Order: sequence, then structure tokens, then C-alpha cells
Amino acid sequence: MIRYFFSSRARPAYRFSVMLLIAVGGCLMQRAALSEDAASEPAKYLGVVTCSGSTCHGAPHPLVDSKVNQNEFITWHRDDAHAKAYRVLLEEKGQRIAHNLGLDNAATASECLNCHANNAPEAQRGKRFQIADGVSCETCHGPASKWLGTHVTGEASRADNLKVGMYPTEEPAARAKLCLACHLGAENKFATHRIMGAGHPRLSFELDTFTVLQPAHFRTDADYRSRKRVASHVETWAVGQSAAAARTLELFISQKGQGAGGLPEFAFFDCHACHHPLTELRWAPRASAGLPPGVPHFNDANLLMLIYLMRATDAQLADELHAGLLALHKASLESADAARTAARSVQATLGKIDSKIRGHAFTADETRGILTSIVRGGRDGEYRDYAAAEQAVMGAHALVDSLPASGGDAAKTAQLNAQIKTLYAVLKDENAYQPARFSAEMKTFEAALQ
Amino acid sequence: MLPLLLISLTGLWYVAASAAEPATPVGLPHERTARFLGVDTCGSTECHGSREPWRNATVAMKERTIWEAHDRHAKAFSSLSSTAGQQIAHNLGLADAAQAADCLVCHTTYVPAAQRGAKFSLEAGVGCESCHGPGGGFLAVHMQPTATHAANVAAGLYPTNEPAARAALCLSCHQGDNVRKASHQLYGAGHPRLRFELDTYTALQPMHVNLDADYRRRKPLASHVQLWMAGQIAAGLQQAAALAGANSGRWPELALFDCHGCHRGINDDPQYRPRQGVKSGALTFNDSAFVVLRGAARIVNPTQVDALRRATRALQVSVNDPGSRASRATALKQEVEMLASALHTYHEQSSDGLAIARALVDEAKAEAPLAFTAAESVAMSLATLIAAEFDEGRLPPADFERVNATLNEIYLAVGNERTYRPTAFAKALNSIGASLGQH
Repeated sequence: MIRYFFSSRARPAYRFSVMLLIAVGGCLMQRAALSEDAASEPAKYLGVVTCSGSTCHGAPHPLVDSKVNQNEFITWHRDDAHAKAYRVLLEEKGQRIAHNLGLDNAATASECLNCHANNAPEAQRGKRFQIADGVSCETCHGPASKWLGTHVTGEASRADNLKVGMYPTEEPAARAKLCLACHLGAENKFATHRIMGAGHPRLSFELDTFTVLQPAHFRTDADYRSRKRVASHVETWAVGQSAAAARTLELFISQKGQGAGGLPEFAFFDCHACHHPLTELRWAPRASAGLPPGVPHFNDANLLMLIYLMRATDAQLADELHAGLLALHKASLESADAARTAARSVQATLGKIDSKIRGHAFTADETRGILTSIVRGGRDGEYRDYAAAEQAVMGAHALVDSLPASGGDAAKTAQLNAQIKTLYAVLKDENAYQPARFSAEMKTFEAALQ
Repeated sequence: MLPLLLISLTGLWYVAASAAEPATPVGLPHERTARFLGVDTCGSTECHGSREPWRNATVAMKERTIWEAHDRHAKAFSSLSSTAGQQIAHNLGLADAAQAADCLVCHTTYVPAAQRGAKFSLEAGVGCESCHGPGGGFLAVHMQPTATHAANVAAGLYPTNEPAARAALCLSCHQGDNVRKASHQLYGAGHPRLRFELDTYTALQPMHVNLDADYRRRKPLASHVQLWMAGQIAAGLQQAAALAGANSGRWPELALFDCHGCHRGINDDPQYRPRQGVKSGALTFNDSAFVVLRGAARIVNPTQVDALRRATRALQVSVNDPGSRASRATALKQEVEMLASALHTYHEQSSDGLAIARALVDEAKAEAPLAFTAAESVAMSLATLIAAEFDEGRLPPADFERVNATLNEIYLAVGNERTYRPTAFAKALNSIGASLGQH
């Protein structure tokens, strides 16, 4: 899950089978679908085939004269892991995880489908809807039945489309909410420690990095900008951190914070604090945790990023969040009630921070200041947890990507990118992660920033 | 909880002893009230610190010399000042391990100052009186020409020759109890993982006693199998009792749980399947003693095996739930107590180490995949049982060589906790099962 490797990845050869799919779909069909809808009915999901005609979003190559690429379907189908989300449920590993969970079949279990497909209620599935499409167009862009027609004819504005159910994916806060529903959890979607124990991979997410890695199937050209706002990498990153921290606490406070038999739900805790070899001592004191050795601790990666972000922009809020985090760590050893109370207090601070971040136009100086602050946290050993180190590198990458647009120098940017590559290498194997080495590389990064 | 635990651990012995001599001091050595006189009192060159064995004494008289030269207990105190010791103390927020009660309770003869004699020194580490009891009670008695073992014990000598008493004593530190806490916090700070098998560790200590005719005349000599069994019973009782009282704050005492259930790579293991009805991702307690005890029960008290298994599983599926953990742990403890009673009867009639070894292999196979700590316990147990049978002449040298080769496979399979694979251990069990089956 590393931006560097993904962005340099060679694209697979064009697949002939894709053409076949395109032939089946057709823009003309979409008109008919629209007329099925009465205004009072809930919007319907029309299925990938409805969007992916070769003259719509299934063009074999980007169309330069068009407002959008029009090959979005191809990009998704060929390079986007979301397209395989359903299929993996049918594979050996998916079936094994289901079996370990006592489920008959992952591909029919709502516990799995809620994230691995567009598991909409039956009444909202159009004629051409296929659960097997996985995480597809309408999973993110919203049910198309009420906007498809005007969207095709160009009669409606962006605002009109949003009003009738198109999802505002270009807004970082909205996008964060959408992505985090699966990549972290929501009311009806949550990867518990039980699911992970059964074999599901650990979740890890950073909004800006994952937008790049997905890969993006849009281009933010002048035409795009005339229609929608383009958030910077730094804003996208910051909003993503804020949303992830808020969602984590919201879920932690909810019933989901309770795991098996009333123990805390392990999914909220740092994975590698326990999952490290017994023969390697992992614990060391950390100023932002204040915990003794030998206790599971809350995964505070996003909160740490926000503390260091605020250190550069609003020291008072940074201190407030730091104090709140220490109290949360302490309370998590006492009782579920104490932990919830402490989490609510952190939530209040996060609300203040979020209002400062959302929609904020970060200047180049601010961005550089935040980058330096994040890097210093690493230098000081505050990202001993693998999850925090991972967030710090993804964040630093997003911040470095923000710099040239604000007038950075190319040689310096290349030097910083080289150091980011080194940091990714330190994180390559989470089972062999060495916090001391990470700190040392962050120190080198800090020197490069001067 | 500790007094209850002690009564159950050494129940039979204490009842018998107190019926004969109501004044006999009870409890572990450090719980006794007489004065502790120090290693220099016992281990002078005229007494137990002789360079060479005495010819006419009932014991070798060079016990201190052996202890000082070869027994790591003698270095228990100085290890607190080693780099590792200081690092652990630092991680725990202690200024000095050599002055912290939490460390000293196991690394020295840690008794109240008022009970320390003139020659007593904490720096002697785990010395004579840590195990044999306060010399102030029995020193004079045991020096009499007419001294008997029974009289010494009545005066306060701790009966280390009794398997149950020795097991309770050793495990109070080597597994930990309510006072000497081998907590997960201690482990997290860097303390090595504890593991123990009574007969093996008695041999490794090394022993400073001659089990000669003279010894046998004075006190009952426990067999290897008896010592091994007593150690496993005590470990099971202590583990169940600790689980019954494991609630402390938001987390149970994590030291009671299977170390490698959590301390393993986070990567997906395609071989993983939920064990014994336990949900994936849940904590599982360290069940090594119970696996071994079920193996023994197959021979000692066959009708109890299923009940033992049910009780262990019932606790395993509910061990994450503080609401039912205590009652199920208590139920499991009662099963182990029943087995201890049955064992008493069994030892009076027979002692067939080979049969128990075979049963243990069968149980370990039935229980596969075994957690690392359970596999390690099975390995140490098999080694003890096989060596005992060889020592006692029931396993001829040629057969011993053959069985021992398969035992090596077992040891290789548990040689490295980081690379342990249950499937490799199961394969080694098949080999040793086959070699044992030919007897």
C-alpha cells in the first residue's frame, strides 16, 4: 500500500474481454432506466453496465476533447482493486475467512458484502444491477436513477446532480466519510478483530495517498476546475486525518468499542504492540502515550498526525489534543466508561480542529511548517507504532506533493522524495519494523528539510 | 487467595503433618515466622560449605559450594544489577531493581527485616533458607546427633523432598502467585518468559543432594514421574486459580494467556482455524498444564479425561468474559484437584512412565494444533518421562537410543518460538508415538 511503488507500477496490457462488456452496455439504455423512476421512489442503483458504454465511461482511451476522460470504467476495471472487491470473496482466502467466521459463504454474507460490493436493499437495485460488480461506480458516486438522464444530456448542472443523489466525491470531507465507511468502519460495516483474526488483512488508510493509488480515474484540468473545487494534497490529507480520528472515536464510543465478552474491541488498539515476536522487546516510553509496558494501547496514529499538524498552526489546540490523548490512554486502562468519557472529551477538541482544517487554503509556508512538525515527531520517536509511522510517511508524501505547486525547488523536492522512498523501505515489512531505524531516517529527513 | 491455593496445593501433606505435630510451621519458607540466619550461617566451611564431601555425614556437606558455583539461584540478586535487570527496572519506572520489593520477592530471600539474623544478607540471592525455611526454627534441632527428618520438619525445615511441597515452592516464583506476580507488565518491560518443569529443573539446578541409601533411610524418595506429576498439578492449580481472579482494571492479567497467540506476525496464516470453539481474534489462555494433565489422566484416571477436557474448553470459550471466567476457572481447578486425589491412589499402586508418555503423545495429537507453550510443556514432559524410564531400568539402552532420537525431533520442533510450526510438531509427535508404541 505504498504510493511510490504503485505510482511507478507498469500498467497491465489492455484486455480484450473489456470490449465485450462495453458492447453489452449502452448509453441508450439509460434513458429507459430513468423513466422507470417515480419521484417518490428511492433512487436506484443501475449497475456498472449502465455507466460503462463505450461512448460513455467505457471508452478504450481517454478522450481529449471531452470534459471527462470517459475511460473511467477501464481504469477501474483494469487497475482499481475496488473492481475485484466482490471477486475476492469467492477466492480461496475469502472463503477461508468466511469459514473461520462460521459463515457459509462470504459472497452471500452481508457482513462481507457491505464493504465488498454495493450491498443496496433489493428495492433499490435496478434491472441491470449486479452484486458481482463489487465496489463500483454507484458505490461512490451514488444511485444514478435520478440524475443519469440529465447527466448524459448535459441539461443539469453539477449542483442539480448533487441535489438528486450524485455524491460530492471531490469534496475531501465527503470523500473521507465515504472511503472511511469501509476503510475504517461505519454503523453497519466494521472489520472487528474477530474478522481480522479469521484472516482479513489489517486496515490502513490515508485519503490523499489512496486517492492517488486507487488510481484516480479523473483529471483535474481547467474544465474540471470550472465545474468543481480541487482540494490540495495537504488539505485532502488533513481532512482525511480529522475524519479518521473522529470516526475512530465515534465507533469506539459506540457499542462497537466492546469486543468479545466485554473486553475492549481489539480492532481499536495498536496491532503491532501485541503482534511482534516475543523475543524482541518493543516497548519504550512515549511522551504522547504515558503508558507502562505490557498493556494494549489505543491506536492513536491519526490523533498523533493531528497533534503535529496543529503544532505548526495552533499550538494551543495541539496541547489540548495532546492532553486529551494522554487522558484517553490512561482511561483505557481503567474502565469502558472512563475510556468513553475521555474519548468524548477528545471528540470536542477534534471538532474545533476540524473547523480550522476544513476548506482551509494551506499556504506553502504552512505546508512546510506542518511537514517539519510531522517529521520532528518521527525524529523524537513518537511514531514507534507501525501504524503511526505508516501514517507519517503517507502524510509526509502528501505534504511534499503539495509543495511544488506552491513554488518549491525541483532539486530539493527530488531529495525529499528520495528520503520518502527510504522511509517506505523501512516500513516495507511490518513484522520486521524497527522503530529506532525509522526515527533515524526521520532525522535525516529533517536535515533535508532545512 | 494465596492461603486457599496453598492448602489445595499441598493439602494432603499439610493435613497429615499438622495432625502429627500441631506446632509444625506451615506455609512456604518465606511465610514462616522464625528468623532467617543467612547463607553464611548454613554454609560455613565446617558445615554445608565444605570443599569436599564428608565421609561420615548423612549429607555431602558441600551444598553451599555447589550452589555458589553452579546454581543460578546464587546469582538471582546480582542479576538485578545486570544491564538487563537495570533496563527492566527502568522500564517499570523503578529506580533500582535491587531495592524494589516487586523484584526482590523472587530474586532474594525476601523476609521482613525483623526476621533477618545477624549474618543474613539479601545479596545472597535465592539462598538456603529461601527453600529450606528459616534456620532459626530448626538449626539447633537438625544439628543434634539424634536428629530425624520428621523432627526437623516439625521444627520448621521445609519438606523439599515432598513433590507437592517442592512444586508449590518452586512455582511460587517460576510461575508466580498472588504475591510474586509474574505480570504482563513485567514481561513487557523485558523480563524473560517463565517456563518450568519440576523434574527437569531439579536436575538442571543442579541437585546438591545425594539420593543414596542414607537419604532413603531418612526420607521418602520421590520418583521422577511423581515429581513431574506434582509439578504439572501445581501448575494447573495455580493457573486455574489465577484465571479465577484475573480481573484487574480493563484487561485481565495478560501473563496468563497464550504468549504466542498475540505475539506472532500479523500476516495471514492460511493454516489457521479457530480452536475448540474459540472465536477468531479472541484471547486464549495458556493451557499447557491442562494438555499435559489430560495426557496423564488418560492413565491415572481415565474416566476423568472428558470432564477435564470439557472444563478446559468451557473456560477457553468464555475466558474473554469477566462474567463467567471466574466460575469456569474454579470448575477447572476442581477437576485438577480431583485428578490430584486420583494420582495419590495411582502412585501407591504403580508408576508407568512409558504408558503416561504414550498417553501424552495421544493427547497432544488429539489436541493439535498446539500453542507453542503447550508444545514446549509436552516436549519437556516427554523428555522427563523417557529419561525416568531409562534411569529406572525399564527402558533398555538400545530402545532408549531409538526413542531418544525421536525425542530430538520433538525438541527441534520447539527449538525456536519464532519459527515454531504446529504441523512440524505434529509430525514429530507421530515419530515419537511410533517409537514408544513398540514397547
